[in-house]
Amino acid sequence: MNGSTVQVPPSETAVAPRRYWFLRWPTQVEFREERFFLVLSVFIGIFSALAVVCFRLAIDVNRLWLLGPTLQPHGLRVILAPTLAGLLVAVLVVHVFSAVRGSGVNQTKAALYIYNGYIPFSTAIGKFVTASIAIGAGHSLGPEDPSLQIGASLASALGRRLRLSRERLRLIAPVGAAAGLAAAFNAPISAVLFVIEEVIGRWSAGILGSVVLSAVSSVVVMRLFLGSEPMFRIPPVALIRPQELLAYAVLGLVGGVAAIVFARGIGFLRPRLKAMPRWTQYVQPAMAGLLIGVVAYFGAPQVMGAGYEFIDQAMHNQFTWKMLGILAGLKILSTTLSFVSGTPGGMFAPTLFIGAMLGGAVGGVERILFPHLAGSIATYCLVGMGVLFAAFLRAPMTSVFMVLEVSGNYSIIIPVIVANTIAYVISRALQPVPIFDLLTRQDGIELPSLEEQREEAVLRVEDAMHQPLGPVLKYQETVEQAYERTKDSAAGTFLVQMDPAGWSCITRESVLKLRGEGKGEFTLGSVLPTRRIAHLHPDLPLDAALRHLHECPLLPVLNRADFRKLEGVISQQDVLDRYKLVERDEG
Amino acid sequence: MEVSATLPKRTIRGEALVIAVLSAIAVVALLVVFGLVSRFRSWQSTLAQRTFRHGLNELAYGNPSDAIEYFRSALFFQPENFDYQLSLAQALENAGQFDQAEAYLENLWERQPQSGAVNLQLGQLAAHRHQTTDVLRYYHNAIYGLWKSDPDQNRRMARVQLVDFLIDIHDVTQAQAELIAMQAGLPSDPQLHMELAKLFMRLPDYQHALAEFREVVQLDRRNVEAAAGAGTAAFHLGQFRTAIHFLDIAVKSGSHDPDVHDMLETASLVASRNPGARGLSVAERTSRVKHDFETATHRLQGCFDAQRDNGQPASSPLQQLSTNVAELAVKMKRRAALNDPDFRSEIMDTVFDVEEKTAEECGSPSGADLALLLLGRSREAAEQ
Repeated sequence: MNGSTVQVPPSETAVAPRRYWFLRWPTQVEFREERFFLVLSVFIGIFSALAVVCFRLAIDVNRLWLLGPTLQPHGLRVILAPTLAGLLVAVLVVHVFSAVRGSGVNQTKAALYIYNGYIPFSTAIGKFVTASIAIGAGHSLGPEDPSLQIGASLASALGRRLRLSRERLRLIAPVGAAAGLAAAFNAPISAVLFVIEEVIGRWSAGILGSVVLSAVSSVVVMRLFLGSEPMFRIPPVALIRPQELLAYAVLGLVGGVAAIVFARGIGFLRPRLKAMPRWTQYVQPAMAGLLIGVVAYFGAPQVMGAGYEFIDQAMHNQFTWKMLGILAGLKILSTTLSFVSGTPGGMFAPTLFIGAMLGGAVGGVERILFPHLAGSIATYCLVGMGVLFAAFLRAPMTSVFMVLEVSGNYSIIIPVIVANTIAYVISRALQPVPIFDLLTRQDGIELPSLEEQREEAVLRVEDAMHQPLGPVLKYQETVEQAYERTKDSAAGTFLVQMDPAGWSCITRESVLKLRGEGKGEFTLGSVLPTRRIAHLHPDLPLDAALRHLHECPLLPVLNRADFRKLEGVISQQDVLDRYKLVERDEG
Repeated sequence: MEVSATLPKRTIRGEALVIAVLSAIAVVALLVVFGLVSRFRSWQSTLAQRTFRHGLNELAYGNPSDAIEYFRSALFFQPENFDYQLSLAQALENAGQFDQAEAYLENLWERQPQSGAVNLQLGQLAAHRHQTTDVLRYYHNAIYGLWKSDPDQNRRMARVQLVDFLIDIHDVTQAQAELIAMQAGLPSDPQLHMELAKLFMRLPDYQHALAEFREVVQLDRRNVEAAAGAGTAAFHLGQFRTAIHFLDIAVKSGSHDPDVHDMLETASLVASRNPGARGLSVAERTSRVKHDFETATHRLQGCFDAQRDNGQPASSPLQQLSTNVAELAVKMKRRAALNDPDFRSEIMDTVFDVEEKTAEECGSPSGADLALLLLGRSREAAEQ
């Protein structure tokens, strides 16, 4: 056992009777916080999944009570239910649960970056109650983002209760978020990717282990209750011929534009509604509900709620392409209304709904124009979902895996990648600020934009290095020889190639000093410290140089294939000059 | 919120206790949620079943559009229910929404490719679209697939539908193969044999049809339809004595079908004009040959007259036959010429040729001429 192993006092082991061995085992196991955190992640997954199962049950019960036991609600209740639910939710949000507005993704991110992982437990309760009422009553919002926030809130409460360290407490909210999202989506990989890609923003073994464990345990528990079937019943997906990728590229184009319309609609209306007098906050969700009810009453009840059952129908070719196009447009409108009014609920499900309808519509038109296209409407719907996810939520990797997970079909991956990439590029070009970042900025919070970080140009050592100004010395040269070779050089520091490998450095002052001490005949190898200085490679980030420049004012930059080959040198001044240059260019 | 920056001190026993407590809470929570979910599922199931029954009723009343809405609502409560999806597909198919039905059926087929019901519906869709390869594939899957109830009956139904399709596209060989396969495992049920016999008649495969009708008559002697069918099959096979037997039974049992009466009359006429019938004396054979020859001669003359009346020249085959008939008439005047069986056979060959050619050129005959024509054809078929 290593040094960190907990030592059991001999007296304790000696007196413990053999039959009580099971009471002793915890003392023989090393429970460092990291391992404890991993175990805790499993429990977070279990509790989050149970909460999400109850949340979904609550939505279904509310829906049955408020809209009736039919797939397509009808009559005046489609107007009254979302309107009255909007009023009730508004009162709850204004007076009881003020932190439950919106989707919950940004709140989780804020907990990580601003509040040391703190999310009040009341947020979980508030989100559960208000979102289940709103979605059950037909507001055009989804249960995934609230599930994410409920998971994060539960995890945060648990972490605080167990008095975890600040670092762990910060990370526990995203771990809970992954669990909540995984349970809501029945898609553990997508949940892990989304949380890593959009909330945490960095990969490390510790974080990844916890997030994966929580997501997997969450999905296992969720499947125990709600079944292991994928989210959608996907009809067989035809194999795609290479020429058909063009058809999916068009879908990517249309999806990218639709995502812009959707994002700009929210970005435009939300601050304006927030700026209205306070009393309007009581009626905004109700007005949104009323308008959605009117849309439903006059022939499009499909826009109400999350709409997964209608995605299923679209995939089974139950709508004409015109109807699919209309539903996509109406869903953009109704979701925008619901979301900007401050009604608690998520945007994942509406995004998937819009994507599926748009995909089906584009696929329908293309199949009319080119009847030989083999892709079924279900294929287009699936790709459409990925497209909107990539372009609107700006989670390109998650979007690809999400489609694969909900379809269970790998043959669709090529069109998904093609269409998602096109949509993502269009969305980035026309809407530089991603929707989640836009929302946080509208709220006056500056959270790190993970997309901006990803896209930021990285400065590398090769951008600042240069050829040595002075000679490169050898370890076998004497101090006198080194003096002779360096006395006319403009440089102040010189690299010394050591034996059998490695590098050291010596300054002009050191050479003069050694010479003055009568060590002129000593070799450089004998007078220099045995410890070698760090070396760099051209592709390393520039800040890697800063970490080592305290060892020597000049660092060698070596070829990765041949460590004896000097590609250049770099000094602190070189690094600073390069950063200044960038600042000047950006300025 | 105040959060300690330092690592909190936590004993190992404390952590174990935490895990134990969390495990206990998790177990209790699991049980509670399990109870809630069970109650909710039960409620949903009740709603789904009620809605599904409404859908089935609407489907039975011939309102597939209403049935579709009910089935969709039932699926809303239990999205994975196989029967609900299958019924929805059936309703969509009945409503003429074939593409929509196919999407659900393909999905079901992915889940249960061996399901007879799903394959049968996919076969029906393929038949509607005349996709012969798919029709054969799905119907065969249905025939050899798994059925929840009445597998034999369902398999027979699938095969009958397949045969219907094959007959419609005139693939008689494949249809015959299917029916013969069906015949092999058929229980002793007159109704089933009757159905099979009718299908054989549609091919037409009179031989197998006769065998099946016979089976029905043996099982149910009062079955007029089977007797008439057997008689008809035998009539078409040229087995006129058998035809007379069964047609007579049908008529005596009260069949009012004019075709049955006509066939019985014709068959009786054929029997009475056949000089090759068993058990006849030489004198009787000679008399029938003479009689038949005279009938053919009149028929030939009538055909000539008709052509002349229409302003058409007599065709060369008819002229050739006329010459043959004249030569035979001269030979027949010789004493004892008709005692020679070969000569009688030569005369009858000419008679049959006359009836065949005149039928081609002057239209279908009736009465004795029809009897002779059928007699000639049956003999030709027998020789072949």
